[in-house]
Amino acid sequence: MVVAGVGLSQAADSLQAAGAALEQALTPFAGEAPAALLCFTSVDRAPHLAAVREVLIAGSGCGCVVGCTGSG
Amino acid sequence: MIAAQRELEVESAIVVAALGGEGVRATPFHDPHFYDDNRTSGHRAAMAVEGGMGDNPLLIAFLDPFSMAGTEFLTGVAELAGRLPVVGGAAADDGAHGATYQMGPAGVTSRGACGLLLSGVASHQVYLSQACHPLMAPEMVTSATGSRIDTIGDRPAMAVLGEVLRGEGIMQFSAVPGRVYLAIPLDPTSATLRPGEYTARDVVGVDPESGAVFVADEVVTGQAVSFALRDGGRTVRGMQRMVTEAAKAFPEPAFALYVDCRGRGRGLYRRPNCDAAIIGNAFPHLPLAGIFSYAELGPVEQTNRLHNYAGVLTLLG
Repeated sequence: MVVAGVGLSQAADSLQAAGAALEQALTPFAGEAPAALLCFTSVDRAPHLAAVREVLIAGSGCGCVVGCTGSG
Repeated sequence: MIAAQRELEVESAIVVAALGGEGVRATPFHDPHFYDDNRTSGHRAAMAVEGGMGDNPLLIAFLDPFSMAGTEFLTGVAELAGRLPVVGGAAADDGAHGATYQMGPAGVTSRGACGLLLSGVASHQVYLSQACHPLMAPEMVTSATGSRIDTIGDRPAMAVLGEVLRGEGIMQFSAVPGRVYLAIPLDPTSATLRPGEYTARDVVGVDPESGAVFVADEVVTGQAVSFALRDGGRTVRGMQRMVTEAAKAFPEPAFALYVDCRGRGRGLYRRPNCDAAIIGNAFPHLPLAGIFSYAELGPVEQTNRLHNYAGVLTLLG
């Protein structure tokens, strides 16, 4: 059975936004690392995506982080 | 982006979805050279995830639309991975930026393809909603040159178009700019247009003098086509049917990925959050994440397809 959580943040600082969205997404995992993270961002976050990815890896213990920009 | 019951079409945001569970495995792929050769990129993706194959595999892929050559990536995946189902879509921008970005093991790329293979999930189901609705049974193009269609069923193409639009209460083509399409069956011998089995191309103009219709693609004589309308009312009803069917077949999914064409949303429905609310009403506590995309991927009857103006809902349990 899949366990999943989703987080959303509109914080202006992309690294803070990534951290906040990750915290919400990890709620169902109770400290366990998920198998994967999907990350979707608006294109204005593009300059910060590499750092966002690092925040997600460091904050989750999950090395499988993939995603893309969407309309917005 | 799409998260919970919210659709953020123009807002700046970050959405994160975490996936796991007992026995669930994820194997990432990321090809920065997608732009070079989409078909080879499909091969690379299939090879990168091969070691992660397990029960109920599902490939989730995000592709750069500006480097995309039709369905070549899907062809490449199928050549090495057979009927492995593929969902996801083309990444997008704000309509002005001119580039999209993909994130994965190779870092961040702007002309790449990325994604992951999920396996070990108990089940997954994919549902498709289309926004372009055929207005007639397919008829054969009897004269066409390039993007110009002169006759359909030996009648002036514009007369056929006028007839189907009048059936919708639309008196002139110019009254519905950007909403009329030519629906082309993926199987050229098909006499019907079932959801997911046709592609839609913009009707860009008409010539009242000759009766010709112009389309944003090449059309060949002998091809079966239909005219279609991008229609919010029909799409809402279709979404509701689709989600009702999904809720019956899959009453307690654990996660939903929704890839929704950026030509839908507020521009189609004249109100925000429409699709997300329909999904949320059927599945009130379901974690939902997704994007507004430039194209959508999803299998139809076990064949992976590239869709446009579609919403592809993938439920995992």
